[in-house]
Amino acid sequence: MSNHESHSQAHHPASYYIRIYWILAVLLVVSIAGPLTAHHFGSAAHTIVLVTGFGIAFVKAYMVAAKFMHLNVERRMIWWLLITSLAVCLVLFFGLAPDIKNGNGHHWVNDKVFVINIDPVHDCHPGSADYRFDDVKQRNLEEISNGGGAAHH
Amino acid sequence: MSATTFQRPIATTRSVTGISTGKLAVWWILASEVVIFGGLLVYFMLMRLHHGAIWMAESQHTRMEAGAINTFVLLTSSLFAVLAHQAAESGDGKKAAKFLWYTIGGAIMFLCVKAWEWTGEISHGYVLTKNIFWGCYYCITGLHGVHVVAGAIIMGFVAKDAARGKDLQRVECIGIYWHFVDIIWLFLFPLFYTSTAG
Amino acid sequence: MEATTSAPSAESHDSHGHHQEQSFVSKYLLSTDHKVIGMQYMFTGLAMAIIGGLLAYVFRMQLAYPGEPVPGYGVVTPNVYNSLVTMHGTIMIFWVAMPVLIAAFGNFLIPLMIGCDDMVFPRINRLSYQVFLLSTIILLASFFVPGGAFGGAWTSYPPLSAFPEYNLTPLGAPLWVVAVSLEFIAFLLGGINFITTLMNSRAKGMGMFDIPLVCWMIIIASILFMLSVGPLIAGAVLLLFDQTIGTHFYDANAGGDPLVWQHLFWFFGHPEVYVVLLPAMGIVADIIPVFARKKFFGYKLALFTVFGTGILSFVVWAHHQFVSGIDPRMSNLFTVTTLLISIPIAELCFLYIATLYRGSIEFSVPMLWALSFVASFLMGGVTGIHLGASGADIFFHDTYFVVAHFHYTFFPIAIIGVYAGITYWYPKIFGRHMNETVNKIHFWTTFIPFNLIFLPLFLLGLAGQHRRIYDFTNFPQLSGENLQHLRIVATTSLIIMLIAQIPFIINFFWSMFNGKKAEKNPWKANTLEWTVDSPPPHGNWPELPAVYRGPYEYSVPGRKDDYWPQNEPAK
Repeated sequence: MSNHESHSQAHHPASYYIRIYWILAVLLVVSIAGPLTAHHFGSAAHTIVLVTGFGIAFVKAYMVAAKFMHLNVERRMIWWLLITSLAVCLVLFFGLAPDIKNGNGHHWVNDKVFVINIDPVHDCHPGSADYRFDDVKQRNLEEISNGGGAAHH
Repeated sequence: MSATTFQRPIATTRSVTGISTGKLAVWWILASEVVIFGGLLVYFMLMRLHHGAIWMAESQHTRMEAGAINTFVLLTSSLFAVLAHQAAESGDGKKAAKFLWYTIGGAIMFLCVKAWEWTGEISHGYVLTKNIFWGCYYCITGLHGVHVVAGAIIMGFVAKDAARGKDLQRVECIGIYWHFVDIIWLFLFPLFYTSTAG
Repeated sequence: MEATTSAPSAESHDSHGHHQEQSFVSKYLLSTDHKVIGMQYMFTGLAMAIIGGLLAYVFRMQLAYPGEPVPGYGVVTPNVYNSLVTMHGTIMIFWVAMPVLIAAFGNFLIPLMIGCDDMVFPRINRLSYQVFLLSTIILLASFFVPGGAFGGAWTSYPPLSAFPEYNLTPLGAPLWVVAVSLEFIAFLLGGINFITTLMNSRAKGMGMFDIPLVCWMIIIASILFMLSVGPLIAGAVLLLFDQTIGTHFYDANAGGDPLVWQHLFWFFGHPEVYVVLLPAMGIVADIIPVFARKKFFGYKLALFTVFGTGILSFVVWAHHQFVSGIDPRMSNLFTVTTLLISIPIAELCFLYIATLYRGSIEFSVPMLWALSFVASFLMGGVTGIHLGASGADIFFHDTYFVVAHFHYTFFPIAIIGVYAGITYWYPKIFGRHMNETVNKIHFWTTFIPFNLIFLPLFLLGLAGQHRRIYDFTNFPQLSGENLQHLRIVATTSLIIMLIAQIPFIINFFWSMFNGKKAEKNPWKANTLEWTVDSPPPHGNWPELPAVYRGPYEYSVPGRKDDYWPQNEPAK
């Protein structure tokens, strides 16, 4: 850790940054034009919006980070630092996703609990459990597809 | 102890990692900022995916032209920030300060566009409490706006010192911060303004 | 750069006498010296600990003798009970464990242990304390607003926390959110300072593996804090808007999701456990080799274990929510990770025990605290296994078993760890020794009652006693005589423990002025902080030291002394 090598700081002329700036500006135009014209492309519209919107945002972010923030000549440690914090966000995303994406409470069904809760006394002769198991499951599925509330994306 | 008698400790001047102390701290600040914005964006994206149709309808009412202008303004101010850094590297404090003032000008223009945009939206009834989409919209762009304001104020102090050739290393630090603010906006732009068909 | 700034710095050291003449305000309240700021944090934290302890006294009395007026307070109403429990939790974790363990010890120790004159950003350091102080004032002020202090539990789950008609504290709730958010910002500022200082300003010759474990652990804790607290700060702002201006981020009726808050809270809240645990473990790791006169067993292993713990701590958070209605498939996942994280922590405890093995153990006061930390934290950890298994947790979660488990982890951290640190570094901080006999009495009268408070709670929890009940007489099956006796035992022990702190406080302040003068290195320890004067002057060393070896070279064969200071050149 204790090395004192001076990392080479880029000494680019102003024209270098201005060139990158123009590339970024062109990318910006693409990221505006893409979503605006996407509806002409029918089924591909969705993909075009995502790619031109977010794909280009990532490219632009990379260019700003690498060239303007000089991460391309910075010590590698900083990349790792930023990647770690992004990874933390990803962990949060995937931890939250199962709960938020299915916020209406119908995202999982423990069928056995339903069997026990619904009519525990009625009709409990041997052999009927399988039938009722399927019956309840069916009812649940119908309920989900009918009353799901907000549309799943 | 007043600021005039303050002596920078030896600790500040050491650089075991090879990265100057101020810059290292800025990177750590940015790492923590990534997580702050990350938390909000995770919430927004998951809600967006969950409430697909409703939110798509709401996001039709954001003003894409305002977002696009602001993206361009921030991009341009980022260029000025990096040019200021370049000037500071070559020891030209006056030039660095000039470019920093241009960057601040960009920040002010950004805020003016933002004010115009928000005024329009609020007057059409799209307020913070309307629903979660607008709540997220105002909170996230508002938090970003707070960063723009903070960055511009700090930049003013840095520019004042840089014009007198003092603490030129700070020009790079504030520049890195400014690029980060720019990068955040690069993602907010498609999230709020252009992904209306998805 | 080094040459130009070191000259004025040396000059300021020469004018040391000048600093002595500063007024009290500029010397102790507005100082940028890391030691003074550390002490500010420590005194604030310990004052808050007294408040938190007294809150516990009031609501424990209500539990033991429901409905009767509490001596020194009066009758406890249900609302007040909620506020007391909420504020006890908030204060003990955010205003005692965090400021004392991380901020106070971190500020005091890091520059001294890595051999530099101050933190890298002294003024940001001062700002950090000022923001913290502001948050403290806001929190304490919330006791006196109409409706009283926040009563929605220290985890502040919406909708309970979001709607005043549920939590009945219309002003306390937003003040709580503001105070907690400000405090996080204060520690973010402090954490950046710590991390940058450790990374950039180590003494000449001090490599990654020559840093004392306590510094490492405070730094890793700061990193965990920085990476986990962001979503909660953002989420707290959303909660504040929900409370005050009527947004619906957590309102399920309007498309929001209350579970999100729980996720955001525990996404921070679980790493937070390690944020406060690691410094305490670091303090213990530094004390044990000194009083066992033996090299720390497996320094690198301990370090990598802690790194692993840090990474794992980001993927265990949802074990707090097994009964909150999260996706059961996620419960499976989080059960596995939760059980996994007990491995590195157990490993650290084994490393401590292995360090003791065949050492020359001296039962001084810091050592007693350190050993009791390991013993009682093991209790907390082992009961954590029960709770980490989602199946068992469904039964245990809302019982006093959780309360007992939680306190068996946090009491060792926030109280035992802090006492270990204070008694160990007291001679360095104040330049005088504390009275050893009083401290030993204090140890036993704290440690035994602590166990007598929380062991009965395990039994109560196993008997199914729900943990959020104000008055058990309303629930005949929970207020049987056996259970009530256990509650009275716990409450009585708490009172004994609180009284036992009085001799310590007297000893602490008396020794500051009248104790036996301490030499530079009273414990014959290796680390750098023992090579400066006690107490260290402004600027710490006349000439900053260089480092030649690791921090735990005790009883090296062939040496006359059984210790080998880090800054002593090999001959």
